[in-house]
Amino acid sequence: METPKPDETFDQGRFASEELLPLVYEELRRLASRRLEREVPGLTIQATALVHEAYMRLLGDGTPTWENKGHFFGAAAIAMRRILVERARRAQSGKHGGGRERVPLTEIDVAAVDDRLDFLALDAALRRMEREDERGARIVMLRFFAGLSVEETAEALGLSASTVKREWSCARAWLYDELDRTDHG
Amino acid sequence: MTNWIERTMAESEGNGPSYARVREVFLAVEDLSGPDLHREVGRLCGSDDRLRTKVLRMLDGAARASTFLLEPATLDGVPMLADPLPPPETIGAYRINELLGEGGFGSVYRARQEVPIRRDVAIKIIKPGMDTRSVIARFEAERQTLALLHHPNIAQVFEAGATPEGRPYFVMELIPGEPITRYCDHRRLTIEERLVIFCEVCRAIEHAHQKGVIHRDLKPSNILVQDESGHPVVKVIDFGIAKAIEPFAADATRLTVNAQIVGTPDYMSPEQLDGGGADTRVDIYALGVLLFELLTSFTPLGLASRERSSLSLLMRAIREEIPKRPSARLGQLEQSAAEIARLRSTEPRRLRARIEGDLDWIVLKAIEKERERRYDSVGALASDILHHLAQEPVSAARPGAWYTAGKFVRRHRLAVAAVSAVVAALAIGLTLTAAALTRAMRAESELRLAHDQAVAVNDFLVDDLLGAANTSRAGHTVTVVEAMKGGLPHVDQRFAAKPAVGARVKYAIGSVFRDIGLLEESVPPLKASVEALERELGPSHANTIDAKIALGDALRELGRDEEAEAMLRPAVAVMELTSGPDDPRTLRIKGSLGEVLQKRGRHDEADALLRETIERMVRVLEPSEESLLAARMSLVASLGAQARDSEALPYSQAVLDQAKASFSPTHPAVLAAMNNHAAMLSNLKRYADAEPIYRDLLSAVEGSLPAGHWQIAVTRFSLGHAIGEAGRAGDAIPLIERAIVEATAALGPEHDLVKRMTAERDGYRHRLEGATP
Repeated sequence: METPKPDETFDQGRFASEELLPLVYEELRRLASRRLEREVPGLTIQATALVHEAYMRLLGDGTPTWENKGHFFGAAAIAMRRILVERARRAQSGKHGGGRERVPLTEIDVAAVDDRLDFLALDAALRRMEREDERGARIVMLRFFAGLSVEETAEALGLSASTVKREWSCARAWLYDELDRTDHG
Repeated sequence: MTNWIERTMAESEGNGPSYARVREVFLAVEDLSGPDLHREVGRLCGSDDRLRTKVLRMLDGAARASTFLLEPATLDGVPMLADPLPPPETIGAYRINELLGEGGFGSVYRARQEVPIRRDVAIKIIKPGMDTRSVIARFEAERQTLALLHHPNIAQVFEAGATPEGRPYFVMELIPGEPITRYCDHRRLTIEERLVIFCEVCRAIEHAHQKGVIHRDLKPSNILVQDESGHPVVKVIDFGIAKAIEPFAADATRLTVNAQIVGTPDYMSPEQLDGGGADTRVDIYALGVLLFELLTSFTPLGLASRERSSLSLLMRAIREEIPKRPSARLGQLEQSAAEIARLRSTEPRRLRARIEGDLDWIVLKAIEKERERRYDSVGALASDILHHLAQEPVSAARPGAWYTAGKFVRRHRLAVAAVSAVVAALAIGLTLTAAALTRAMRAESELRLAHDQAVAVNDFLVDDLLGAANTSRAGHTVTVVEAMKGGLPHVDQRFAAKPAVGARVKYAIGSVFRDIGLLEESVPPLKASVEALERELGPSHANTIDAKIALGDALRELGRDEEAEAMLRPAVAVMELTSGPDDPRTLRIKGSLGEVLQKRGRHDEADALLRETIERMVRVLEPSEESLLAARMSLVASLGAQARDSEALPYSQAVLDQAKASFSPTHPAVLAAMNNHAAMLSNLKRYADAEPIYRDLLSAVEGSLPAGHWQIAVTRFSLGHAIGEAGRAGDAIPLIERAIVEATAALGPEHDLVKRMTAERDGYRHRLEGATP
């Protein structure tokens, strides 16, 4: 098993302006921890809300075009992914690295999917996908990590909504199977 | 065979068939069902059982029925987010201990080194988002210089490396001190004691400057003070680190990161916003800010407390906002005055009196917006402090009315300075850009278009402008231009409720003025539209950028290059930040900046910027895009101006060929390329080659530009110049004379171009008289 290198694939290409990333990353982290401090324990924060709040704070003055927004959400998706992966990695090392207690996806309550989602496995699968289909991986990033709708994703990437839908359903099915199978061992 | 190997390689990483293969089959069959589905899958997968199994499992419905990934990612209430990823237990030879602090770019830990020396060190681990190898490479490049820094007040940086997760880290001398401001407050040090410590800091920085090292990120948290047997000892940390991470933390990013997340952009000088050419004076600026804070507990601009400020407002404050004198700042206080004085072991009134005068002027001189007006060395700053402590006169003096008139006076000075830049630019040849020509030639239709648009937006032109113009000029034919000139003052009122629309109308009017050659008239409406659009729509909005490009072009054409640069540079920074370096508008405005730099004779910078921009444009834009051609022409002009003929001439020819290949023979882009190629030939004294090109050009320009356009005059003059230099002064004089008349009408008698033409004509006359006594 190769050692994961977080920066290897996330930052490449035109996916997001490199300069934007540290900024967005810190902003998301800060907003999240501020909310978590304030709010009740057990609260969940949706990426959509968080990312949009960060957007308003960082670029919100005015009505930027989707051209601009696309770059921002690209960076935001990377940042969210990184935060989640880091957190998962920590949780894992907290358990002393040993046997991972994972519940196969098919057996758990649907509502709990996100809590139990293995971000490390998702990250690894997504990285495999990125190597072969950058566009598909971007769609997953924007849909899942930045919480954009199909239409918004299409706009951000300059694709048609139907293309996004097709690619998204294929990517989702593939990732589902990758994670599911990993879980079964 | 090959397939098998490829498949095996792909599978060895993911334990399954590759995504690309799976996708191909999946998308081909996903709408099928029953036996059709199985037949097609079987056909597409051939003997690849694993591929077939995978696709069928994906189609099986389990994935589709599930909500897997359908809800966006969530962060649940685990309080892990507050602190960053824990550091590894060891890094290289160092065992990581407790967290000492967190800064804008990373976290600092105490660490223990066992070999070869047993000692405690500080390790700064940089946050994600930077390219580790480049950071380390840049640090290594700086190492030789850093090794020269041996000063008791400068903390050593021992080494740089990468953690197992790939983050850069720096190993530094561990300083058990506290930030200078806190140190002084904790001990309630008096102003005198603070000044003495400040001079220590200056000495350390001066030493570094003498060795050629600029800190670039001086601020209280990087200036630690510790007690050594009862005496304060200063240690400046982080030398060399700011430079290593600089390109990955564009200053605008740093500004926002700092402002919104970790402290303060207050220590950043205006020129650091532009990212270019930081010199020792950025440290002098930061020292001035530090002195302000040591004296008053406030920073000059108080940016860190402007919680909701946007990036553009912060940048503007750093560039333009004139800070109060430190003593005046203290005078504004209500409740906190007593506390601030108490921290300095004095009372409010005495504190103000102590600072008023010398110390005010010393601070203000160090934090001048224009670096030319700051102290020219840290030593000079320190020596003023020492003079003050010794009650001798200081070099910084009350600027009087100059200071209060502040930026207006400075702007004026800049305008004066710009004149000499124009002369220099003219001396190296006249450059037309494709964009300018195109605009001019389309002016007629644009007039109509702009008119229509404005009417459509708001009946404005018809009701207010044309109506008003008709009554005031009864009996005359009212041109659209006249109507626009007459209506411009009414725009604000008419669109008071919709300032963005008003701004667009001004943009349209200003653009029309410029396109038909009314450069002076175009600037006020364009400027007003830029300001309003920036305020209403934000600095990176497409409308704002378009207006800035138009204003930048107008300013450049007027020879107000410095102003153009001052506006375009931050616009480029904002666009790169918000829209990315490959955004077409980013590239266009960057191209405009490149043209300005080229015209100002800043060849190295212009070359680098233009080359980079062209490279990106080639990837992103259509080859026939005019901004690409314009950028290429600017690069030609820049090479030509540096007398790099061997490079410039073929490139110029290539650009001309390319223009001819992309456009019709009379297309403005082709004509501009012809002009520039001819200008280059002319500069190389190949007048016989230049002359026919100029002749063709002149007839084309005369045929297509509105009569009286200044570019006709420029072209005629260029032709005359080529002929005159070829030794035919008698033929040149009438051409130049006509050009002078045209240029005077278009640009006014005071324009540099007119002066240059007149001088040249006189020169030829003189030559003729000399030849025929």
